[in-house]
Formats: sequence, structure tokens, C-alpha cells
Amino acid sequence: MSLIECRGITKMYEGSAQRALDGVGFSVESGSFAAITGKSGSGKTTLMNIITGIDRPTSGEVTIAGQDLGPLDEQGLSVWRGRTVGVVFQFFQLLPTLTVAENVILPMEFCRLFRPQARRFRALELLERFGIADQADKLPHTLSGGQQQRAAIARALANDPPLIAADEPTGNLDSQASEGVLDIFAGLARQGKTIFMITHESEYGRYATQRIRLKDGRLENDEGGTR
Amino acid sequence: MTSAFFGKMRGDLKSMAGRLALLGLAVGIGVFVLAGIAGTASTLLREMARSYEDTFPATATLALGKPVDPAWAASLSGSMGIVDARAGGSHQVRFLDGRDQWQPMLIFIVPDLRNNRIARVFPQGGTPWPPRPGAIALERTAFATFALRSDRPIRLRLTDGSERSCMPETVVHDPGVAPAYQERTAYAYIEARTALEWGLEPFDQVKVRFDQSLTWEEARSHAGELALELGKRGVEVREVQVPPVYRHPHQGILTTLLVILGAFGALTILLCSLLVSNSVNAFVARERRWIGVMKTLGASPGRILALTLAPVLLLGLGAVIWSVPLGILASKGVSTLIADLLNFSLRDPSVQWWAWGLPLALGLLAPLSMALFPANKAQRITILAALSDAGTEGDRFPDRTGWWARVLTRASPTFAMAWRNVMRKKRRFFLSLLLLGIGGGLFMTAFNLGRSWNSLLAESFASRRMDFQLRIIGLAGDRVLEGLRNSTRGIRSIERWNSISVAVADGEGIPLESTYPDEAHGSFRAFGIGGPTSMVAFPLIAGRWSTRADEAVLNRSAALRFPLIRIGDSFSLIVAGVPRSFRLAGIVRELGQAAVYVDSARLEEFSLNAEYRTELLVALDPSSDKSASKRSVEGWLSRERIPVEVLIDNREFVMAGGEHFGLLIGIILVLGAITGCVGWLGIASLLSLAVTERRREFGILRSVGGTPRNLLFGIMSEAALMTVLGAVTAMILSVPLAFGLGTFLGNLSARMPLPLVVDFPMALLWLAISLPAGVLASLGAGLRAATTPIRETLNYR
Repeated sequence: MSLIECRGITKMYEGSAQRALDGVGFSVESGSFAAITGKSGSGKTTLMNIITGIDRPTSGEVTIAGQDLGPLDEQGLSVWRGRTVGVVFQFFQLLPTLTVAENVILPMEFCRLFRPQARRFRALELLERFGIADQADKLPHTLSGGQQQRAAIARALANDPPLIAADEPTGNLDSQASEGVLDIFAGLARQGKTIFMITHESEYGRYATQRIRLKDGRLENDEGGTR
Repeated sequence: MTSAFFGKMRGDLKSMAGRLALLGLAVGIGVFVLAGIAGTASTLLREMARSYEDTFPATATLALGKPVDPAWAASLSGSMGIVDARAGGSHQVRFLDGRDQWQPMLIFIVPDLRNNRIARVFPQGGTPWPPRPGAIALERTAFATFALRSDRPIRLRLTDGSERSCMPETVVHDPGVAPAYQERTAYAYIEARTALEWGLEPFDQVKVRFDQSLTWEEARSHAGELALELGKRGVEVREVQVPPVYRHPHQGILTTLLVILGAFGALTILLCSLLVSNSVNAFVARERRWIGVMKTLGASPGRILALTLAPVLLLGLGAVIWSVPLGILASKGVSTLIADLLNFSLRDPSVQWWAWGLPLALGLLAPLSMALFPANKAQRITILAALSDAGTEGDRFPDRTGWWARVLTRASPTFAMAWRNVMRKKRRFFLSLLLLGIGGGLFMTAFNLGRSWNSLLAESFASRRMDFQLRIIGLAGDRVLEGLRNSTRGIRSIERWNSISVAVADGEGIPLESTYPDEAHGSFRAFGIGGPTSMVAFPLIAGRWSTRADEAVLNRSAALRFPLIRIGDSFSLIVAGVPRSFRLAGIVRELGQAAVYVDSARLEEFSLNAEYRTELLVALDPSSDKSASKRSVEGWLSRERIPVEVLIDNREFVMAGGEHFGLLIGIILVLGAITGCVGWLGIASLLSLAVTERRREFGILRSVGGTPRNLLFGIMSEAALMTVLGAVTAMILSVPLAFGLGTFLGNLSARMPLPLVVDFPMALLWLAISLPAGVLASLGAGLRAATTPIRETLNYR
């Protein structure tokens, strides 16, 4: 069953005649680990933004977990995103004024999932799962890069979403920490989560079960041509 | 400079336009207040002095206690340093006002009103001048205060109990006396012929003017020498009154008030300037990397300085352009209002140059000088430091988070985040607290002072247990007491005291007082009490209440005339022209003019002469009709032709004190509201700055499921937290503010510090006003945070 369905997605930015995405269409099965690769400016981030509902396509349809994103307004998109997608960024993007545990609790609170008393317990459980429970009550800047990214992944999983979207999650980590993060993603995929990850480091492609290569806003086939 | 550089400047200004406008408005309001105060001060201080000088006030008034020949008085001119001299006299009478109430009136007798050269009054257009014989000239403020009309006769009751009817046909302005409503007294002016017609002794004083250049001390010394010289010539001087030279009775209060207001205006500008400095600091932090890039491209430190200071200069210019002219315009209205309230005229309403220059300079220079620190930091930054900037400077947090934040987290991370965001930039946080605290503090102080004043009035009312007090000229024996008791129902008790005007002796034994011609400002009276009294119970400040033998009790106003005196010390007073010694038993808190309480038998022995007065203190049954009882007493005294000098209704006496204070509280309240507005703008600007700085965080919040409503709620929570903390700060600040201002203003107006009273309901009112206002201030920033597309916020650096 497809978790992500994209049909004919085109994206043009205001003031630019160029197409950031040009008729891109693909699907990603539930439980897949999809790696989106391509050079800088190929449209990876634009695609990620559209998949996560952060941006809207100029034309085309996006259906995630059975939900067509087109009719949703900003409020609806926020609620949908909080329940359906866990976003992981390259620079971790933990909120600096919240502790690690509070960062994880926040999406649960936004989406009103889990009983308020159970939220901290769940946050600690997730942090424990990624080996950073002892950092729960610290502020993010006191953690190492690898630890911060694990915390960010814990936050992405807070609402138990079916889709984890990661934008170059290892781009700011050393190789050992990167391996650790990718192992986590692979494990999550095995447990049935769908991973949609942007990366330009081809050596990590070995974790992926599906590759989507972009070039100049179009999908690139294995032979190097675009379609 | 290149056009590209201007382009960068223009771009920066455009990106800060909203915040600059808010800050400009805040600075503008501060400058407006200062310009208003400076304009008012420059006009009022000049015009009050001029208005008073125009009356040619007497430097000294010598009370001789016997008839004075006007020709002899005038002949003193040119001798003994006297520039000009004339005879004068005054009589305290009573009149029936337009509301059928007997009120006090002080009649001044002048030899020749038209050609008068000392203590002049000014006739208002269209009325006879001088008043015809049998008519009076009445000070203009009496008409409205006592519901009088110049075409309706007034009934006068003279001190001998006889009544006269006279027409107040001439309206005059006397800038030398307080307005009638303040002193609850009407001032009238007649010539000798009318006085004689009414059986009043026209002249018992000599009014003299010395050289205008004399200081007060010199004037006092000259007046003392004059009294001694007259004594040598066989003319006994009972009292010498030398009010502060060329100073209106209210000039000291006005000057001090304007200085306080000016200080608040300057403080508001200073706070706004700190806000500006904060914004420049944030701008520098944001632009650090680009500053490095520009330096790499060859930008000199001067250009970087110009880049950072240009918005501030523009902001200052934008602020002063409207606020200074508006402030000056407002000052004209305020000057007219205060001049009317204090009863002097504005002949020249123009504003002096410094009143324009000061707010103009402060409005431009204060924000610039405050912005110099961050601007200087920007121009001195090295290229290496600038380019390696990670953009996190000034955004550090302690590793541990406080227990209160953990408690908040249990409730909601949104609250915890709001709390920590509020505390995120410590300097900004304290500045916001200061802004809100001072605004709210002033607001609450105004009400605290109002309560303090009312508490003083209540204490004064409670400590005077009589319902009214009659001052009868000469001795009133048992017959009067019996007569009153028998004629009037409802009298619970009557006490008989006596009294006489006294003076503090100078080194030569001359009775030198600083009493103004209105005989109220600066007067000093001794009251004789025969044993324990049930009529007064003034709170003791020091010592004990005792008027036995040579012991005396001073009220605070009187005690201030003996600066070094301590309980048990002896002090000397001139009673009926003779120095008498007393021993200080205690000092009491009493609202009103200077008074000393002594033994009545002793006072009678010292002063049984023309100056002697009997005081009858009448307490009525609580169930009695007080107005009817008072009318009955008045009627009996009139029928018996008992000379009543004054009847003081306790309630009116105490309430009259409130008149002086209302304006002051109103002004402080307005200042508090204005500072509160500046604080509101400050909060709006700081939140706008915070939203700009945290745009990326808003994107993250949205990407983890935060809805626009969640974001708006978060920003509003920050504003709410800030305003609640600001209100708490205001409550805390209002206590020392109310204490300091209460002490200062109380000493000025009532000669005693006001008791510290905290008006809690008003503190809650401030919270109720400021909380929605603060939340409203955050609306713009919150909506911006909530509606900016996530992609834009995530791309923001």
C-alpha cells in the first residue's frame, strides 16, 4: 500500500520562470526507506517541503496516508502534519528554550495526543529508546550533535506518525554519529514506519529500499536520463 | 558613499520599518511629555513671578495694633531704606454666600485703590473702579466658589455682630492671594470711607517696599531694623510679616512640581532610548555576518557606524518632528489651566527657546547616544569574528532549568516556553519590566497618594472631635456658653479655649513672621486650653500632650520653625508683643497652619488685649441636625451682637484640604498613563523584535504540528506573562515611589509626610487594564508569527 502518492507535481516560485519541480510523480510504499538524492538545486528540499505540507505545489496532487493535502488549509495542515509526519532537520532544530524532554512533549501537546500525565512518560520512553534519557532535563545546546539529532528523531516520533521526513539528517554529524542515526531510521522502517530522507551522500544509500533521484526538478532514471 | 551602500541602508530601514515606527512613537511620546513640561515650566515660572511682581507686593507688613495715619505711613518713603510705604488694614468678617451659608471673608483696606502702588489688585473690565462707597471690590475667584453675582448684594456680618449689605460691584484680580476655592475664603477690597461707614478701623498696618534687589534674609533684617527704629520713635510694632521676596505663595510648590514632572519626562525618554539601544543591538547581532562581508569588501568602520546609526537618527527625527510642536502646543493649554487654578494671569503665553531646544536635543541625542554602544561594537568587530559568527550570541541559557519552569512544563511546554522566552534576553527582560513597572508604578502611586491624602484627611477629621469652632473677638464669659446651650438644641458639649496670633522672635526680640497678606499662608497661632480636652486628639509625633504650667505642644508645621528643638527644650514666642518662654512637651500631627497649644490661663494672662480671641469648640449630638444647630448658634450670637471673627466647620475645614491635592494626583495619573503607553509600545516593539529573531523557531513549531493558533497563543502568553510581571514590579515600585513622593509632597502641602497607604484595588485595576493591553500589543507580532509561510521561516537566517 502506498503511503506517499505524488502525481504531476510542478512547483514554480514567484518571480522565477524556472520550475523547481517539473511534473514529478512517484509513490512510496508503507514501511519503505526512501532516499531522495540529487545535486544542489535539483529540487530535493522543494519536494520535501511539499511532502510535509510545508509548501504547496503549483500543480499536481499529493496524497499522504490517504489524505489529499490540496484541500487542507493552514490550520488543517498543521494538525495533519503533527499527527502524520515527523520532521527531522539537518541542523536538529530543537527549540532552545525547552529541555530535551519538553521538545518531545510539545508535538503531543499541539495535537492533543496522549493523556497529559502520560506525555512525559512517553517522551522519556522515546529518549530511552535512543539512549539519551539521561539528557531529558537538559537544554539542547548542552548535548552533542549526535545526541541532539537523536532527540530530534524522538520528537519526530512523539505522535507515532506513519511518515518520518528527514532533510539531510546526517549533514551536520560526523561519520560515527551519522551511522547511528541511519541505523535508527532503518530500524524504524523495519518496524513499519515510512522514511522519506533527503541525502546527497550516496554511501548512505545502502540503507534505502527505494531511491528517488532528482535532476533539475525532474526524476532521474537509473540510466541517468530524466522523465 | 556609493548608491549600493545607500541601497543596503534603505533595505535595512525597510526591514525594520514597523519596529522603527513603534519605537519612534514611544520616543515621540516621551519627547511630547518633556516638551509639554518644559513649555509649561518656561511660561508659568516666568509669568507667575511677573504676575506677582506686577502687584508690587509689600516686602514687609508691620502690624502696629493701633490706628495708623495714612499720611504718616506714606511719609516713611525714602527713609530707612524704604522705597515706598502706605497704610493698610485687614478685617476678617463673614458673609452669606449664594447657597445661604456663612463663609469667611478677608477685607483689605487700601487708602487709595486707584493709585495704589503696593499690593495692587487689577479691576476687571466694565466694573466701577474704585468701588463706590458702601460697595466692595471682590476677588474674581470668589464669584464661582461662593455662587455670587456682581449685581446682587451680599450680606456681611462684621466682627461686632452687626450686619451690612453691600454690592460686590467691582470684580478684581489679585494674583497675590490663593484662589477662593482653595482657601475657602473670599477676598474683598475697600477704601477707608467704606470701612469707617461700617465701623471698622481702617488702618493698623504699614506696608513697605524695600529695594527690589534684596534677598529674603536681607529683607527680614531690614524689616527687623525698621521695627526697632520705629520702636525707638515710640511706635510699638506688634508683628513684622516678611513673606519670601517676590515669590508667589505657590511658587515653591509649582517649581518643585515642574521639576518632578520634568524628571519623569526625561526618564521616559531615557527608557525609550534604552529600547532603541536594544533594537540596535539586535540589528547588529543579526547583521554581524554581513558586517564582516562588507568589511571584507572594503567598508570602513565609519560606514558601518553610519549604517547602524542612520535608522536611529531617522527615528529621532521622525519622533521630534511631531512631538515637540505638539508638546509645546499642549503646554499652552496646561499653562492656562494651571494659571487659572493658581489665580494668576498669563500676559505673555510665549514659550522660551530652551523649552523647544531641550526636548529637541534630548529626543535626537538620547537615542543616538544609547545606540552608540552597540554601533561602536559593530564597527569594531573583526572580519574573522564576524564571518565565524554562528548567530547564537546572547542566546545562552543556564544548563539547569528552574523548578518553576519544571512546574510550568508539567502544566504545558507552551507555558514553559513562554516563560523562558520572556527570560531569554535578560537585558531586554529587565528593560521591559522597568518600562511597565514605572508606568504602572506611577499609576498606582497616584492612587496610593490619593488614599494617603484621604487617610490624612480622615485622621485629621477624627482627631478634631468638635463639629465647629467659633472664634470670638475678646473674652466670651460663661454667659455666652450658657446662652448657646439654652438657645440651641443638640449641643453635646462646648469647650472654651482662647487664642492669639504669635510669632517667633528674631535675635533682637522682634516678632518676625513670614505670613503672606492673606493671613493664612505662613500664619502662626497659639491656642490656650484649660486642662484636659475632649475636643482634639492629635496623633503624637514625639513627647506627650501636656499644656500644664509652662509646657506647650507644637504641631508639626510650628515645630519646623524651631529646627533644632527637642522635647524638654525651652523656646520663645512673641505673644502680644512680648517674648514668652515655653517648654516643649510634645509635637503632634495636625493638618493646617502652624499652631502651639498652651495653658489657657497663662495665655490669657499674657494676651488679654485687642488681639485676644475666645475659641468655642462645639460638639453636637450625632443625631442632631448639624445645619440647623449651626444656624441656631449663628442666629443667637448675631442677636446678642457677640463679635464672631470666624466659624470653622470641621468637615469643611478638613475637606478644603483635599482641594489642593486633586490636581497633583491628576497630573501623576496622566503621567502614569503616558508612561504606561510608552511601556505598551515598548512591549509591542520588543515582541516584534523577538518574533523577527525567532522566525526560524516558529517554522520548527509549525513543522512539529503547531497550528497558527498555537503560535499566536504562545506569543500572547509571553505578553501576558510580561505584563503580569510588569504589574507586580509596578506594585513593588509604587511603594517607595508613593513613600518618597508622599513625603515630599506632604511636606510641601501639609508640612508633614503623607502616611504610606497602598491602594490594592487600584493595583488590581492596573493589572486588569495592562493585561489585555499587553496581550493586545502582542497581537501584531503574534499574527505575523502565525501567518508567515513555514518555508520562509525555515529559510530565515
